[in-house]
Amino acid sequence: MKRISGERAVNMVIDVLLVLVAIVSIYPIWYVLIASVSSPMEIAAGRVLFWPKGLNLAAYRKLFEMPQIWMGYKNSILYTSGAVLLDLAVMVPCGFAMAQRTLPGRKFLNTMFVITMYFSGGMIPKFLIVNAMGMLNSPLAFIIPGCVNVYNLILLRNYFESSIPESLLDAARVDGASFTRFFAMIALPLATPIIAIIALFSITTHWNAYLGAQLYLYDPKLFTLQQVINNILSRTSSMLREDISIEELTRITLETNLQKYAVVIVACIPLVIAYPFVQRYFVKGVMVGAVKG
Amino acid sequence: MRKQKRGKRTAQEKANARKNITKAIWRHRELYLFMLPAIIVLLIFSYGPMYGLVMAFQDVKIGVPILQNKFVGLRHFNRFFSSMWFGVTVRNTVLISLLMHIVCWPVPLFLALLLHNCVNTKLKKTAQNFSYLPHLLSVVIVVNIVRLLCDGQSGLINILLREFGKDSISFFGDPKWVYPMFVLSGIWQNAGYDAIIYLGALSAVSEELEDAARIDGAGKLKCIWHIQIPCILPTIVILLILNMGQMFVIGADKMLLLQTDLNIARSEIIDTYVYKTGIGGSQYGFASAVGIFQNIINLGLVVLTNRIAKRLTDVSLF
Repeated sequence: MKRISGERAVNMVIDVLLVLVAIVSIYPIWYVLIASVSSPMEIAAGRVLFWPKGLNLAAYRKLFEMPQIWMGYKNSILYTSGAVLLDLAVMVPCGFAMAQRTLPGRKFLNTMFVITMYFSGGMIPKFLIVNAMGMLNSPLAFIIPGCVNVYNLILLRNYFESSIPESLLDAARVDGASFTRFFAMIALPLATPIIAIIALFSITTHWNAYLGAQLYLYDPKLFTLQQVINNILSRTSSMLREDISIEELTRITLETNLQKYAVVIVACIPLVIAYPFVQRYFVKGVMVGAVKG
Repeated sequence: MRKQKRGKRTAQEKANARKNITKAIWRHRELYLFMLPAIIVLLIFSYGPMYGLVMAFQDVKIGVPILQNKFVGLRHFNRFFSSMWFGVTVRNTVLISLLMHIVCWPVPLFLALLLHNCVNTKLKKTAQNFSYLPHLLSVVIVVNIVRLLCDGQSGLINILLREFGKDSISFFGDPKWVYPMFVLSGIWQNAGYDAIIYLGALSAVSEELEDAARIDGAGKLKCIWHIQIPCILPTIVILLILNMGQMFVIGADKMLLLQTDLNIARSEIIDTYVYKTGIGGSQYGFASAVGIFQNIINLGLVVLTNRIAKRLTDVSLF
C-alpha cells in the first residue's frame, strides 16, 4: 500500500515537472504574442501575463506598411529555395557515390571530407576568397560556399549504404545499367525519406542563418528576413529629436516596443505554420544521425 | 589487398595491377562525376581558406597576391598575446564553453528521463512537442526574445520586479548577466531537441528487465537509477565525447547579437573578436592569426578526446 502511494508521488512529481517544462518552453513565445496585440499601457503596468489586454492591432497595421519586411521575406524565400535545391543537387549524388564500396579511393575521399568538419582556415580567409571571386554582396555568396554540409553528407552516405542492397546494384550492372541510370531509377526513389530530412535541415539552416548573410550581403535590397528583423529590433529611440516632451517620448518608446513584439511574431509565422508538419521529421532526422553514432 | 606481396612483385604484375586500378577507376567514372561538384566546393571554400595559415604570418593587403604579401613572422600572434583582449576573450570563451558543456549537459538527459517515465501520455506528448519548438527559432529571434523580456525598462522581468517592489535590473548594462542569458537561452532553445537522442536510447531499454525489477519490488526511481541510466550509458558517453570535440566552438553570431557596449567585458569571445578585427577593422592578417590560434586549440581537443575515447570505449570519430 505504502509503495503504491510512493509510486504515485513520483508520477506526480514527474507530471508537475513536465508541465513546467511545457510552460517554460512555450511561455516566452506566448508572451511576445499576447504583448504584440495588447495596449502598451497595460503591458507597462504588468497586467498582461496570460491573455492580451486592451486589444490593439496598431503594431501589425504599421508593419504592413514597412516594405523592408516583405522584401526580407521575398529574399529569404528565394535564397532558401535556391540553397535547398543546390544542396540536394550537390550532396545527394555525392552521398550515393561515397556509399559504393567498390569505388577506388573511397577512403581517401571520405577522409578529405571529414577533415573539413574539424579544421577550417577560419572566417577571414573564407571571406577573402568569396570576395576575390566577386561574390560579395550577391546572394550566391549566401548559397554556394555552404552547400556541402559534411554531416548531412555522411547521413546520406550511410543511408545509401544501409538501405540499398549491393546485390541490387550488381544485378542492375549485370543487366547493363550505368551508375547514373541505377541512381536515377532505383536509388533516388528509395532515398526519399532521407532526402526529405536533409531538405528540412537545409531549409531551417538557411532560413535561420544570420552571420553568413551579415558577412556577405550589404545592400539593404538583398537583406534576408533575419537581417531585416534584427535591424528593426535593434533600432532604439536614440534617433528621435531631442526637443520632444517626456510624455511624447514615453508614448513613442511604448509604440516601438509594441512593434518589436509584432516583428518577432511576424518572423515566426512561417515556422508556426510549418511546425506540425515538420516536427515528426525532426525526430526522425535525429534518429538517423544516432544510428551512425 | 596485395600489399603483403609487394616486395616480390615482378614488373609484369605491377603493370597489371596498375592497369586494373586504371580500369576500376574508369569503370567508376560516373561516380567521380557525381562527387565532383561537392569536391570543387570543398576545395575552394574549405581547403582554400586554409591559406589563412600563411596569412597569419603576413601583412595582408587586399589585391596583392597571397605570397607577395610581406612576411612579418609572429608579430600578429605577439600582438594578440600581449593585448588586453587576449585575457578577456580567452577567459570568456573558456568559461562559457565550460558552462555550456559541463554544467548544462545533464539537462537534456534529465528531460528525457522525465518524458520517458511519464505515464500520462497526453502530457508527455504536449511537453515534448513544446520542448523542441524553440529549436526551430533563428538565433536572431531567440536573442530578440531575450532582449524584449529582459529589457531594462519595458521587459517583462523588470515589470514584474517593479510590481513586487524590487529594483529593476539592467540585464544588458551589467556584464555579469551575459553568461546567464547566453547559457539559459541556449538551454531553452536546445534542451528539448537534444533530449530526443536520449529518448531514442531509452526506448531501446528492455521492458522485460524493468518488469522483472518491478516484480522484485523496485520502485520507479530505482528502475531509473539501476536500469535506465546504466542501459543508456554508452549513448551518454558518446555524446559527451562528441561534445568535448566541439568544446570551444561557440560561434560569433549569438554573442554578437547579445553584445552591447556596456557588457563587452564578458561578451567578447574569440569568435566575435575575429569578426570585429577582421571584417570590421580589415586587419586580415591579425584576425587570421587569432582565428588560427583558436582552431589549433580546437583541433588539439578533438585529437585528444578521440584518443581518450578510443582507449576507453572503442568508439572513435576517425
